[in-house]
Order: sequence, then structure tokens, then C-alpha cells
Amino acid sequence: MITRALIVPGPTDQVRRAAYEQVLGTDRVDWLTDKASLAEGVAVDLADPDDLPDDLRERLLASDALIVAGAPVAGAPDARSLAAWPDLLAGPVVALAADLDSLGRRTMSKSVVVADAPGLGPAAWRAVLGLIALGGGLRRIAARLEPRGPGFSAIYGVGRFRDDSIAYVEAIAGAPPGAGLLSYEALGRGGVREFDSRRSINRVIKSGVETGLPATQDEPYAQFVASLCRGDGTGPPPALAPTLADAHAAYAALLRACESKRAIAL
Amino acid sequence: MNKPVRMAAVSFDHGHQYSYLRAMLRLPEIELVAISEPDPDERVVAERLLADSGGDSVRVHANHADAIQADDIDAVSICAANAEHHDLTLAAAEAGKHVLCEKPLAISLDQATAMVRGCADHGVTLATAYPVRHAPQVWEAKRRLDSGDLGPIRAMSLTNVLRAQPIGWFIDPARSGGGAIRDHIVHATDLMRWFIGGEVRQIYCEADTLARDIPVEDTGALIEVFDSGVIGTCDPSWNRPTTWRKWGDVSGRIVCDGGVIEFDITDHVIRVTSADPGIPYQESGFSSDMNAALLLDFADAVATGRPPCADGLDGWAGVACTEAAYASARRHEFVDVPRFR
Repeated sequence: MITRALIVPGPTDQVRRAAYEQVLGTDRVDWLTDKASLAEGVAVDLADPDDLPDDLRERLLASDALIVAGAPVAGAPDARSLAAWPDLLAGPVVALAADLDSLGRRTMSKSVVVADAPGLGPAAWRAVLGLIALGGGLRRIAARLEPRGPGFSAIYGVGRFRDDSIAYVEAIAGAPPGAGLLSYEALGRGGVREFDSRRSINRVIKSGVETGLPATQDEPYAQFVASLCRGDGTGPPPALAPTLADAHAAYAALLRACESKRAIAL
Repeated sequence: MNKPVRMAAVSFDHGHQYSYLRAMLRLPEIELVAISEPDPDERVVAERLLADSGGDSVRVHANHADAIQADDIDAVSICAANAEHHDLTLAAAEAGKHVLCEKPLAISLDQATAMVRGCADHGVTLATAYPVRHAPQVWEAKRRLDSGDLGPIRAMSLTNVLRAQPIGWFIDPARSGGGAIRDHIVHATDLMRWFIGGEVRQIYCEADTLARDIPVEDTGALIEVFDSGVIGTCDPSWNRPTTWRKWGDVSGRIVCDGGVIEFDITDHVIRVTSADPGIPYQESGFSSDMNAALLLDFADAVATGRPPCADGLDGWAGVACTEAAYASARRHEFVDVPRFR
């Protein structure tokens, strides 16, 4: 049961803090500091595990706190870390996944996340989540990585789902301002389902910088935090329940594949 | 202006020849002297187009050799099935004719090498028909990238997809040499090579026959690693439903340090909706004619002796990437792309 949340400053900290305040109340949410208690019942929420300084990372891993992150945390015990999955609660992935049976024999699924914020992990996790939600578990994946760095970084994967259809995943972080993009495609003999954020006119443009307008009343991250803190929703809705385990396996394989000449079998 | 280049349109197997024919009849830089098409039904269609387009004086041959060897022809546009490009190109080179060959240049690297060497040995121009380079959106993208105002290229994602509808020789492996991989990665790969000014070092490819029950692959995805380390990707699939909102695309997203270029050459359109339920929604393009620009470039290259925008080696590189892609799809591993020697 989560009773207190500590937010690690980062690119999306305002959204993440507001989500916890909405559920727990403002007096139970604070920024993470050196002296904060990391007892059981505390959730430490951060956007990108790669941003953690080594000393804080070690302290977190040794504590009883639950780590909630924008990507899987390497080395963290499963029971005490959680890669966030708001896209499985609201938004295009949920809408696309709702009637995939109508696509018949599947041919291909594609998931592309381009973020102007730095931090490849969260973009890659989000892209993998979308990919697996659309196509199911992977059978194999090959991948390549553009070097991680303070600015641009990217990962690309091509492989097969268990049903033999073809998988394509792409995540870019640190893209130039305005280049952000979410694109999902699910294709089959029975049709195609597509979402491309560039085709939406729901946007605000100020000084040449574009931000989107929401499609749902509740911000997806707030829905995710509500599900998490109520204690009755440690997983996504039943239709997408298998997605998380498959996505974790796919994410790990994707990272391993970047170092491999051969595709990685799952 | 130089004297018009006297051309023959050799084979209408590939429908692009009809677009080229219309352009040749329109461009003052080209004189369309003859066409050749052995198939009587296809020949009738071509003759009808000639009649409708002011091409009544154009000679019509039932035999390609008659057109290729004619003394009043300077150059040929070859749009035969892929497997026939090699023999027709070498026949034209031996007859001293410059060649604009439809993509893919050949169905094997040995064939492509022989074509490049044969044309060089006979002193004739070999151009590969990569019309997409001449689409105005792509041409401007190249200009902006070359100008440097967006900074270096960091990533490239291209698609060249099609509704699941190729038929005839396109899906006969003996004549096509393969399906979507053979037919489509050459466009996307060529654009990436052109944009970045370098070669593909390694390719990973997944390919399969999934959208229809046909003898060639119709679905695929590729990762292409360039010499510079930049990574490009490509979706060349023929797997969009026949009811998809458009026939296909050539789209790209080029991420640079200082900005992004996105294009889709099929996306400058007027959207047309009829009140008649029997008439489906349509998108009508208005981009200027990339095929005419391709032919104009070829005619100028022939007239002036300069290299064409996409030459035989550009076509060879496309074949090399295709062969590497097929090998990768069989072995499930990254495969080194051969270099021309």
C-alpha cells in the first residue's frame, strides 16, 4: 500500500507530482531529498532510471521503497520496482488494442516514439509497451542503438511476434524541439489500425513550439498512479494483462540485441 | 538547347513506362521515336495512349531488338520485368544506346555488375530510374540537408508501402526476382544513401509472405547501418489493405541535430468525397511530375555527357542491399553489404 510519494525531479516531474497529489493529497507528496525516509509504503517516482546518481541509486535499491520509473530499472528486484504503463490505461494504444481480432491474420505491427526530452529508456519502454500491446509477445528481435549521450539517442528493433507477423519498434530521445511523435500501426489481412500524433489538429502552438491537447479527462499518468495507489490495480486491464510480462521480456531482449550480430530469441 | 535525345520506350511490363511515355511526348528535350512491346494486348494499350497523346508518328515494334538496334535511336527507357533488365541493357549498350533502366537494376549482383561494366565498356550512360529523387519534396529535402542548416543527420526512417495488390510478373519470382523486398527497398535505400552521401554497411531484414497467398514476400522491415554509423530503417511492404486510404507512399523522417525533415510524396492532396455512396473517398495529388524530371535529367546527362542523378552504380548499390537483405532474412542476423569492385 502506497502512503507517501517522493518525486525525483526530471522532465515530467510536474505531471508525475500532480498525479500523486490527486490520489494521496498534497501533504503526502514531496520531492526526493537526501534525508527522505525510504521506508515501506513510500513510492519513489522518477522519469528515467539512467538519471539517478550512483549513490542515490544504491540507496534506493537497498531501501524498502517502491521505485516507480519511466523504464525498467536495471538491478532492481521485481517486487520493489515498477516500470510505469500509463499507455495501457488511456490513449491510442488502448483504443487500437480494443478490436485487434478484427484484423484477422496479422502481418505487421509498428510502434514509434520520438521524444524531444533526453533519456532513451522511457521512450524505448513506451515504444515496446505499445508494440507488445498491438502484436503480442516477441519470438525474436534484432536491434541497433545510436550511442546514448546527453543529447540525441535512438534504438531500432526489427523482429517477429509469436504469431510470425513482423515487429518494428523505434524510440528516439533528445530529438529537436517539435519533433515529438507517437505512431502506432497494427496491420492484418482484415484491415489496418493506425495512430499518428502528427495527424491530430488538437494542439497549441506558441512561439513555434507545439503541445498537444488531451483526449481524455484524466491524464493517463494520473490514472496509472490512481490504479497503483489504490492497491487494486497492480496490473493493466484484463485485455492487456499479458502485455506487461511480454513487454519486460521484449525490452530486455531489445537491449541485448543491440550488442548482437544475430537476432535474440525469446 | 541541345538537339532532342531520340528515345525508344522498350517494354511496358512495368506500368511506369506509361508515365515515362507521357513525359517523353511532352518534353522538348526528348523525341520519342519508337516503342517496343511483344505482348499484343499491352501493345494495344500503348498504341492507344500514343494516339491519345499526340504520338501518332511514333514507331511501334513488336520486337525489342528492332527498337534497340534502330539507327535513329540514341537512348532507351527499359521497363521490362526485372529479370530481363540485364539482357536488354547489354543489348542496348552493344548497340551504342544510352540506357535508362527501371529499378531494381537487376535480380542478382552478377547481373548488375555486368550491366555497369558493359555500359562503361561501350561508352554509354547507364541511369537507374529512381524517380523519387526527383519528387519536389524529396529534392528540396536533399537541398536542405546539403545546405547544412539542419546539422548532421542522426537518424532516417523511410517507408515505401503499397496496397496488397501487385499481380502478374511482379509476383512471379522467376521474372521479378522477389517481392516487396526486391521491388521497394531500392527506393528507400537509395534516398537514404543519397541524403547521407554514404553507403550501407550492414542490413538486418525480416521478410515473409503474410498479407496474401502469393509466391513472393509481401511484408518486411529493415534496419540499415551506414558507414558513418547512422542508422536508417525501411518498411517496403505490399501489405496495406486494398481499401487503404491511398495506393501507397514514399515517406521519410530524417532527424538531424538541428531539426527534422518529414515528407510523404503522396501527401500533397485534395480530398474528394462524393455524395454518391458508390464513389469511394479519394485523394487527388497535385505534386509536379517526378517522372518528367527524371527523364529531363537523363536527357541532359546524355546530351552533355555528365553523369545522371542516379547512375548505374546507384542501381548496383540497391541490388547489393537487396541481396544482403534476403541473406539476412534467411539467417536472422546482420549481413555485410557488398561493395562494387
